[in-house]
Formats: sequence, structure tokens, C-alpha cells
Amino acid sequence: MIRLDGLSKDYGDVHALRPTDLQIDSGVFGLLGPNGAGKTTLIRMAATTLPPSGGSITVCGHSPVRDPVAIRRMLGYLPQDFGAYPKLKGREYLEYVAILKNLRHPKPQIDALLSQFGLSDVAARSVTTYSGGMLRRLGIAQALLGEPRVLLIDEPTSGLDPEERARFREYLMDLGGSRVVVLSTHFVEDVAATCDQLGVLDCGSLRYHGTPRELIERFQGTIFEVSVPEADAAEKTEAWGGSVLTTRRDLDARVVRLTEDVEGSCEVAPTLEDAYLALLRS
Amino acid sequence: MRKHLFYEMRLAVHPAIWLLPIALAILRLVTSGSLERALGFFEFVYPLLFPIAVIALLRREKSDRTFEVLVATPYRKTPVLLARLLGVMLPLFCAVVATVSLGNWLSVLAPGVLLAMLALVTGLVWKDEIGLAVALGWWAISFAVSFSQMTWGHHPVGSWFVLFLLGSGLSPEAIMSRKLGQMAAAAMLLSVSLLVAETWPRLLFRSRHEAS
Repeated sequence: MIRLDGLSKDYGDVHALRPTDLQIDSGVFGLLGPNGAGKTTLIRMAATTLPPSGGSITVCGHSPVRDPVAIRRMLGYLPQDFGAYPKLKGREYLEYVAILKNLRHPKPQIDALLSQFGLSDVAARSVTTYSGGMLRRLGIAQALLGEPRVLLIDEPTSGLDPEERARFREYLMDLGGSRVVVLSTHFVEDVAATCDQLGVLDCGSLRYHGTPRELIERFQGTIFEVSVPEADAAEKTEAWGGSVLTTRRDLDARVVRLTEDVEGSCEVAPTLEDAYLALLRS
Repeated sequence: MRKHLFYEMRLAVHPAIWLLPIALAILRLVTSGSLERALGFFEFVYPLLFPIAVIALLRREKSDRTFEVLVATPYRKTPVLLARLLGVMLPLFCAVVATVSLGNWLSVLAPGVLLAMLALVTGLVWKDEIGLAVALGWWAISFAVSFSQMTWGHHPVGSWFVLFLLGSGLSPEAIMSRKLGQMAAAAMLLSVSLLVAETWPRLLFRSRHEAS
């Protein structure tokens, strides 16, 4: 369990995370928010790499400030800016991380992880030859070494192509169970596909905490859809301003989803993306 | 433990650096030890290599984007840093051994080790760029003092702060005591750097981005 009590982080005058209370239990927890919302800051404080400015955070009862090593013993961490030592091969990198995690006889576990993440064939290759997707898979494999009780995964799918992202989501779905998994992302689809609970961060403030379904229900009856001719689309969307959530092209028309009941619109069932965007606009 | 040391040595430096001591050793054999005549040159040049190598070690952890995983592991960071320092210093030490005779090792090694440790501590506590700038600044001032043969270079007190003393006119005993002083200061700085090493990746991290 991860518990935040008034946790905050400031960089000079910039409030990266405003005082936040939150409890994250076992299962996959999605931390959703736009870039600069404070997701990575929160993850780094839980991962013991960044000290908080105020409040407190405990990971399974341990403070990252007073007892970081106790947390690191039960932690798997995939940072947003993950890199592997270019001098090492894939298997060697996992062996090295296993040493840093004080694992005895890690070979069977390394073999299993390489196989699970489709890296067995490239394990003997230098990590410099890995694609972005392969490097992320190596990253998640190193995070899972030692079967950690707490798994912190920061933006695992950004920069991946759609096929690799879909594949990565499948991996993430199976990670929950009895462990605490925190998945930070700005992709709503990642959260929709993998998370039991989610928190929405915006400008350093926690705007929502609950299940994805509850967030959708909150905006039930407030989302509308209207189809406008392509020629009028720019003018109309400008007039509707901040109530526009998403637009998509449909033949010669533009389908606009918005939080306002405008002429010709009809009420629609909100998706998680609608609810998330409506929350940010509210 | 042995496996860990092996990995750290590999991560510390590119194996090609070992070509330097090997080439110098061959050169020394071929020239029948006449490299010794360039001792004054080596006293100036070698100390530049040490801090550059140490700062490159710190910077690599950043440029390879590997430090966040390192910090989040329970392994103590002091042995990691110590092993990597060993990996960096060993080939340079061998280069000195291959170049100059036993009696002159200290003259060439001491300023290099001192500047390396100064760069390390400053780099860990502040930023690696500052560490390198402080070390190179001291090197440049010492070079200027020695080159222009300022009185400072053989002043009883001032000479303790000058790195290059072979041409200073000081007695061999006085030079030896100052070189030993440089090594003692380097040992003290190493101790400080090992004390702060537990927060090493966090310190590295600080000089990168922050808010996201």
C-alpha cells in the first residue's frame, strides 16, 4: 500500500505537486494526467529518488526519506527516461540489475522474464541494437526481477508504435494481483485497458480518485455529440470553445463531442476519454 | 562479489583505454627508458587525464539514462562508486607506471589523483561541470605558476598549493613532502566522496530536469 499525506513537491516557485492525500492499494492504479501534471514527480518520490518538500509518503509502511533501502528491497521501477548500459547485452543487463537487487541465483528468473517479454532471441545482443519497444520490455523485465511487491511504471508506452503499445498493455494487465502497481501515463487507453483504480493529476493537484467506471458515471448525461459540415467545423468549434472535448472526421463532416447541449447535438454515453477531458475542463 | 566487480569494471571505462598504458610501455621499451626525460611534460599532462576520466564516469550514468534504476535498487552505492573509480584509475595508474620510474611515480600521480578526487567531490555535491571546472582551474593556475616560475611556486606556504613542483627549485625532500600532502588531501576527499556516495544517483539526478 502507498499512502500520501499532504505530500508536496516544489521546485523554487513551481509547485510540481500540491499537498495531496491518496491511498493506493494492491492492484493496478493508473496515474493519469497531461504532461507536467506532477505524475513523474509523485512516482519519483515513491521510488526514493526524489525527496518530498512537504507532507509524507509511505510505501508498505516505510518512509522513502527515513528508510529508503527497505522500500528499494520491495520495489520494481521502470522510469520514464529508461536506459540500459550500452556496453552490456540484454541478458547481462538483467544479471547486473539482479546483483544490484541482491538476488541469489537469478538465472531461472532472468530466463523466464526474457521469455515472457519476447527477448530470449535478442538476449545475447547489445542493448544498443534494441528498438524502443524492446528497450521498454527490457525495462519492465528488470523492474520485475525479484518479484517486487511494489511496481512503479512511468509512461511505459510513450514513444511506442500502436502495435507495441497494444502488446505492452497486455503485459501490464497481468501485473496486478497482490502487488501494488502504479502506472503513470497520459494515454487514457492505457488506463482503460489495465487499471482497477485511477487518479487524475492536473497542474500538480489530484482532481479525481476512484474507479474508471465512477469517473464515467460522474459525467453521464453531460456529454453530447454533434456532426457539423467540414466547411463550418472551424467556425463552430471556435464558437463552442472550451466545451469541445474531441473532434474526428467522418466523411465530409466533423463529429464533435462536447460538454454543452448545442443545436443539433444528441446526448451520448461518455467514454473514459470524454470523462477525463471533461474533468480537466471543469 | 567477483561478478559484480567484473561488471563495474566493464561499465567504468571503455576497454580501449588500456591501449594507453600498453602503448606507453612499448614506447618505453623501444626508447630504452628515454621517456623519463619527458618527466616534466608528464607531470603536466597526466593530471589532466584523471579528473576528465572521473567526470566522464559521472556523466555517463546520466547520458545513458541508467541512474534512476541504479538508485532504486537496494545495493549500497558506495561500493558501486568505489569499484567504478578503481576501473577508471587503474589504467591511468598503469600508464604512469609504464612511463616513469618508481622514484617519480608520486610526482606524476599525486596531482592527478588530487584533481580527480576534487572533481569527484565537487561533482557529487554540486554538478559534474563544476567539478571539472574547479579541477581544471587549479591545474591551469598551477601550470601558469610553474611555467612563469613565479615566486609563489617555491614559497614555503604557497608551494603547498602548486601541483607541479619538479622545476620549482625546491629540494627533493620538500617536493616529496608536498606530493605526500597532495596524496593525503586526495585520500581525505575520497573519504568525503564515499560518504556522500549513497546519495550519488540522487545528486546526479538533481542536475537533470526536475518538474514533470
